[in-house]
Amino acid sequence: MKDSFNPSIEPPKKTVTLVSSDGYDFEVEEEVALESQVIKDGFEDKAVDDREYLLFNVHSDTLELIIKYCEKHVSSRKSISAAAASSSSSNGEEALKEWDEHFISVDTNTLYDILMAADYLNIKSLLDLAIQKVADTIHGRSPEQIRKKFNIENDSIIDPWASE
Amino acid sequence: MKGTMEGETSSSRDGDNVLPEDVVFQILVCLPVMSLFRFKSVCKSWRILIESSNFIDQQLNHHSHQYSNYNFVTLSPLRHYGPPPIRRCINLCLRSGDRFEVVRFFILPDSPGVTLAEMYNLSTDSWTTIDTGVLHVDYISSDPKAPYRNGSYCWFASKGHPIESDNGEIFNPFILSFDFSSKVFGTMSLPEVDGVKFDTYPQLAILRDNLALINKVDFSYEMGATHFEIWVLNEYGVKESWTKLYKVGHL
Repeated sequence: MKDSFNPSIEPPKKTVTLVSSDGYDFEVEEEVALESQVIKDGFEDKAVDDREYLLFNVHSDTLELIIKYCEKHVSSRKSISAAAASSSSSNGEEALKEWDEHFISVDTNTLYDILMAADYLNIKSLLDLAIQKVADTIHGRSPEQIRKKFNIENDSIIDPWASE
Repeated sequence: MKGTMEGETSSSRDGDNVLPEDVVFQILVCLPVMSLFRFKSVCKSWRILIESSNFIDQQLNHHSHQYSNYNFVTLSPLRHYGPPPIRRCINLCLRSGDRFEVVRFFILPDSPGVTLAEMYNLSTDSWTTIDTGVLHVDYISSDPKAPYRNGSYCWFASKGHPIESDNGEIFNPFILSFDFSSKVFGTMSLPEVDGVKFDTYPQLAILRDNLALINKVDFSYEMGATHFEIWVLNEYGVKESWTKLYKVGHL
């Protein structure tokens, strides 16, 4: 691939259609969709005109975020490796980390949706990001707060922390 | 990219935040040991998960790239512990090998000079008494980065209390060590230098694989005359091997 990036002379990108649980179509570039290990597995065996995926567990609101994440990661990887090839210095990795941090700073419900979608689609880096974020938000909580947050019934016989 | 929204504003899910077990596992793996101690009482399944050897392995593995003392936590150094007579309890939580362990000290106000220590083992969920011998500890510095060296942790500790030392009360600072494999406490002397008063809260550290001490020397009668001394114990356990490496003046 050439170093210069000029969309006008690139061949048309192959695309994949992702359909959200609420019935919206999202047309994304193939390499973006392949960030999902679930889509990647068996992708080559699928006929080109049959590259449509019904994502029953992912709502359009969440899917939009997931696609945004995958697009960013695909493009960042390209610019990082391009910078490495021309041995020019790049703070691409740092910038991407910062972008990730900003991306995952969302409300609890959105974080939960992203977590579940990343798990369902098996997008390892996003799943790790979301899991770490959940861990960061709960580590100082009390057991009671945790039960409430995750809707867990207290079935412990003794609760040594209850009096605190 | 997305079609028109037809008044679709509801959340993408209706249920509660029920997470799959493997996701819960991954979240808990990211947590520090102290959170895990607390979360064991969330529910039975969490307790079973946290105590499983597979989980402990993964948790250790996850944190192994971090600072080796990452999971060392000193809880609030003085904590009231009932029932009366109130005992002052010092908890030191440590991780050793593949176990999670907590050491706690009891200082009994009505029997001065008696120090009790117990050790908690997560895998057996039980406290056992540790022999402290004639050890007399009134104070242990709360240092989340207590240096760990060759299986032993070291803390700055003292007989008597630093805050009372100005009133002529007894104050003998020393280094307290605990070897997690043999479960034996030890003490080491601080450097002995005429005229040097040890800071109330000196910091212990590891410098070039040796135990080091950062002492703040404060001549209060001279404005701005504070400086720091960095001492290093060249031979572990040998008091004569304390060497003053640097002196850093006030900046």
